[in-house]
Amino acid sequence: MRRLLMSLVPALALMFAVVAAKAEGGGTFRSAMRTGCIEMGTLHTTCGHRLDETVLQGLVHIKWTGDGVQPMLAESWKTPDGGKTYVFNLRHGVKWHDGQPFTAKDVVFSLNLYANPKVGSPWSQKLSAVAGYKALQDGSASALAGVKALDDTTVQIELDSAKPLWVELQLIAISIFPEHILGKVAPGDIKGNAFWVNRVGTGPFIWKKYESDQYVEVDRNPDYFLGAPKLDRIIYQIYKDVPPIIAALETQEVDAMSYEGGGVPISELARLQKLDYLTVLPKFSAGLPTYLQFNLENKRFADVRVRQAMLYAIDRKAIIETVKQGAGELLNTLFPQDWARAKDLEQYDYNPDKAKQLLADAGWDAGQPVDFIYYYSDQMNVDTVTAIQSYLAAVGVNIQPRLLDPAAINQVYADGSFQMGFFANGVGLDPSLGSPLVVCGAKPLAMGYCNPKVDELFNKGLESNDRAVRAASYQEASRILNQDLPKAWLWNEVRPLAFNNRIVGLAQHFKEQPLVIFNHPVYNEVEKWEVAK
Amino acid sequence: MLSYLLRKLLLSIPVLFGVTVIVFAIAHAMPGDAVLAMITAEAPSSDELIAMRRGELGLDQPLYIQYLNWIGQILHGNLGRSFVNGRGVGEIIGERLPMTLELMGVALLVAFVIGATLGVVSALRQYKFTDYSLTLAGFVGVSIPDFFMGLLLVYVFALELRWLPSSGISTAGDSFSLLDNLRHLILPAAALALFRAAIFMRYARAGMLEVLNQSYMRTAKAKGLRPSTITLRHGLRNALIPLVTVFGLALPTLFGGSVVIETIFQWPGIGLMFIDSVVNRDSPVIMGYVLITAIIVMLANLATDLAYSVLDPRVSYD
Repeated sequence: MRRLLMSLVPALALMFAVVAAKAEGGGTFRSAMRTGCIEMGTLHTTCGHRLDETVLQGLVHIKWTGDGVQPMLAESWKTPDGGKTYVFNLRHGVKWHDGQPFTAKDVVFSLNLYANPKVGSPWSQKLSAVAGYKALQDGSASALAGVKALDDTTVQIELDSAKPLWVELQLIAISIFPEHILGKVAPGDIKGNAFWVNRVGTGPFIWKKYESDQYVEVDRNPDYFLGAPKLDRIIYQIYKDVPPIIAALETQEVDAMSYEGGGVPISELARLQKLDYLTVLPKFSAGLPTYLQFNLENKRFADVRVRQAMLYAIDRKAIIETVKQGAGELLNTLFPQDWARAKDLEQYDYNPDKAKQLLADAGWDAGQPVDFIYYYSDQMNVDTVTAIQSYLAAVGVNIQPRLLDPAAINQVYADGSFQMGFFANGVGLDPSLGSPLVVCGAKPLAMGYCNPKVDELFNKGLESNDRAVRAASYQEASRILNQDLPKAWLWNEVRPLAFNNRIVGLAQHFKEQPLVIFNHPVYNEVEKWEVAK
Repeated sequence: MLSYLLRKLLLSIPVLFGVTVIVFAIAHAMPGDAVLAMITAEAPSSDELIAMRRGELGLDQPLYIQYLNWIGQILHGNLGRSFVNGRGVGEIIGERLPMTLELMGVALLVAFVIGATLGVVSALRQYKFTDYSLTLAGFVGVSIPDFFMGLLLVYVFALELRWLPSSGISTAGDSFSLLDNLRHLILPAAALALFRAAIFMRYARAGMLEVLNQSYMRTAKAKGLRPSTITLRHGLRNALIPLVTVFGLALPTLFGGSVVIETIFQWPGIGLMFIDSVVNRDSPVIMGYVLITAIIVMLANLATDLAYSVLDPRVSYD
């Protein structure tokens, strides 16, 4: 027994000691990723776009500075007719990670795969402007008529009508797949295919290993066309919850956090700011307009005075200062982009008397409670909803909050029983992304709002790629949305983020990024990042 | 004995059948379904796409047909396929069950050893300082829920002292090493074990006190046996019998506790899988999880019964 104990002592000591002594040496970057980012599979990668930055790639990616696109598999492109036809010159000599050459055929194959109704990708609508998309959907054609390989390294894409921003807003979401692998799979079997857990791409890192609910490991691709990466490997560590990510960031078990799921909780912010090995960006804009959602098909919310009253009833400045401790920017319309907002918007400053008056004028029935749903379950958002509840109660609007998960919320939307709720949507990339919230008939989020003028302005905003011209359309739309209040605009969400300084290039690039770009692969020069000496 | 075993096993068939009905009903009573769970504001789906997906997954069929299909598969030894990634449910559970069993097994063992030892010590020192302090510690132990214990341990040992990793089953990307795995195991296993150790301690103390008052203990003392022999051979052996029952009963609550602990520690076992499957409304996985855990718990209860008859010759099943 004694001998056993004696032998246990060094073993235990070793167990505790390794954690401190362990140095990476070879250059491993550890990045946190949320559960579900890779298993969703149907060419619809959402938060898994991190793997489309390093393993698979698109023809073009959006730049981390948010002000343009970076040529990736396409070296250059031109549109002779102002955005109706695009001709892409692909990079020469690019090879898939398994050694096969990348050609125009892969591009034609991938676009058709996204658009194929048998694959059922939610991303297929990114290609809805391509000529022949409708014919492919209704089965009268077997391929996209508008997509052609002119030769091995040239692809022509023809749209139904001119869309000068099509590359910048739609094509950036599309990744290119190897035809020599996925071409052998029946479209209906794409979803469950083993390819998704063993991807072959063209990017700076090569897929090495996937352990379910643990990590994805990708290793450096020495033949990468933008130059061999300096890092040896990236390990995407998978987490279900945000708190373990924050803990792992603090103990340096990961270098980068995910920005899905709310960023650094406000309660942890001060602690992380004290750690000298972290760069904390406390006011990173999430590009997330946050609002009270109304079902305008429900008579109680159809009167605009009721919706105005709710906004006057809530002291948004106080909520941002206290509950959110500064993590929000007041917003009185849909767009988080400064250039897209008119300067003369109604401010809806806190005024409970005016709120009561408006409710009385609209004949509001204070006796009837309002079902109110939300899904952000972190403490700050739960507290925010509680604050909103008490502000509204003070003017005679009795909301009854319910925390639901996405499946339950979609059920409430689908069966029409939705009344009111607290939501946010990512519009940071471009104001045009706000259209699903407000254009006529957009399901499920327009909620019965329909103003043809707004639809017209959203269409007009996409007719030019000159920001000054576009601004006029969006600013006018911002004014209408500020008056109509299809949703009661509250604030633009600010999400504190933190990164380890051990990785040179990581925090630097996020410092230059104006806001979170959700669900899209971002080109951020990852091949130049390295572990600090 | 054999007839008892057979009777019990036969009886478990209707019980398991009842389990399938209940779990199916609950899985389908949740608002929303697997198709709705996949819709996000960034990727709104057309009604046609929703209908197509429902058709693929068989969710457009009447409920009783869906149930019969599922039961039919189970009778063929097939738990169905995940709605989310199309993999076999049996395969997914088979991959993850060992990790959950490692966590639960170690937690149970540690809890049993600590609980039984401290319980016996406490009984031998009845109404002395040691007894009072251990009783107080046990009281604190049963009052702290698993999840809070988990957070507390992470805060102290991972964030403040930096002795142990904060989550995971091993260092991601390193080749497997037992030492590394054990370092990751300490905190989640301790979070599960401490609560149960406190319970075992209370039973062990009560059991030991009862045994100490038995006449055979007096006889042993009168025979002049060494005190350690009396405590260990005559006392402990008899005092541990009631603990076997508690040990068996701890299993169902351990499954519940492991769901929470696996989430806090990102332990890739079946508990973490279960939480994800609920969020995704992945009903084949939800139902597979409940069915497998129900079978394990039933087998454990049976084993407890049998162990009882082996340990205590007064108990026999005929």
